[in-house]
Amino acid sequence: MALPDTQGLAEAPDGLDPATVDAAILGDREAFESLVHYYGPALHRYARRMLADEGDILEVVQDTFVAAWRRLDSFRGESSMRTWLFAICSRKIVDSYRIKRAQPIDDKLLDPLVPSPEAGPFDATSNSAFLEALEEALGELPYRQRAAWTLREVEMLTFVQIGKILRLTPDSVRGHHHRARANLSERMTRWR
Amino acid sequence: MTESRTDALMAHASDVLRNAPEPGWDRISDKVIRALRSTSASSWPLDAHASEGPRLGTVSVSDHVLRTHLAAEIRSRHHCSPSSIEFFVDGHEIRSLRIELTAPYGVDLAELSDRVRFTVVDVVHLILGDMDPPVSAESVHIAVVDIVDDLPAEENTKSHSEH
Repeated sequence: MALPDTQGLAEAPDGLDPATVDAAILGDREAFESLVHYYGPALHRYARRMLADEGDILEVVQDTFVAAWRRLDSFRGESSMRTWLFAICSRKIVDSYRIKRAQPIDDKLLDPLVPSPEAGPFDATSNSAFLEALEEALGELPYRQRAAWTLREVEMLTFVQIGKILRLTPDSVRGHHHRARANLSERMTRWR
Repeated sequence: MTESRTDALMAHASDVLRNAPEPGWDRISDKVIRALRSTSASSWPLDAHASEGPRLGTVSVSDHVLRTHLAAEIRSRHHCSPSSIEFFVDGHEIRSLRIELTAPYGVDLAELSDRVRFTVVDVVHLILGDMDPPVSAESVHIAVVDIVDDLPAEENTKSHSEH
């Protein structure tokens, strides 16, 4: 009988020392905590856009890392540590049954806050308002569109990686991303 | 706002969203770490034998403990970094091991493998005691799976001089 262990990483995560990742995979608790601090913000950022409740976000992110720690022996290095953690997180979100449902956006949110034709959306006065409108528009998207857009545009993952995370084919991910992009563009085109 | 203008803004917005601080994480990170510290990693019990002393017999040692200890010893004694440590067991007795290593350019890989092999035998014997049959150098399989420019400084502490 072979006790399975980890295989080498197929792709090294950006900015994180591969030796630290290897040590974490081999059960070094301190190294694993380095992973937690490194990937925690991104997982929290993702969970926050997928879930409505603050308590659910904590639970999902915490359960993601606890599950990863318990299941280190199942990490095969077929994907990066980041993809693996996002995949666990994605399953926890779905299993929580508390996905932030698509909410029809209030069109007033898209009304101009600074109704000047010269003022661009990223002028200092309107920057946060644009982002707020974008977050609201994101919240209006169906779950898979929101997930695909967030993982692609914010986390910069490939369609293949997102497919592993969401358990979809890369083509399906591309379709969800395309629709998300079209919906967001339509919403944000109306924003000035 | 034109569509291309919107695309440019969306791209910029993605950058902003990606690089914005995540204060929510700062609020929960301590709780996550505490939860982790109270969680055991999954493990398989390995038999450890005491052949002398007042408490003869067999106790179980988690494979997680042995793996972590082996990794730490290999990293501290040799100019390389283990990326995989796999145990092949018969029930709860280790029969052989496979270790995958990352090594720096310029190292004699055959020599390195031999040294690591003997470290593994040493550590396994230290933790699991006298096994029948014992884990020997022949039952430790080493594979250097990656060569890198250099390893982090802490990897090189005791280096070659120990062996």
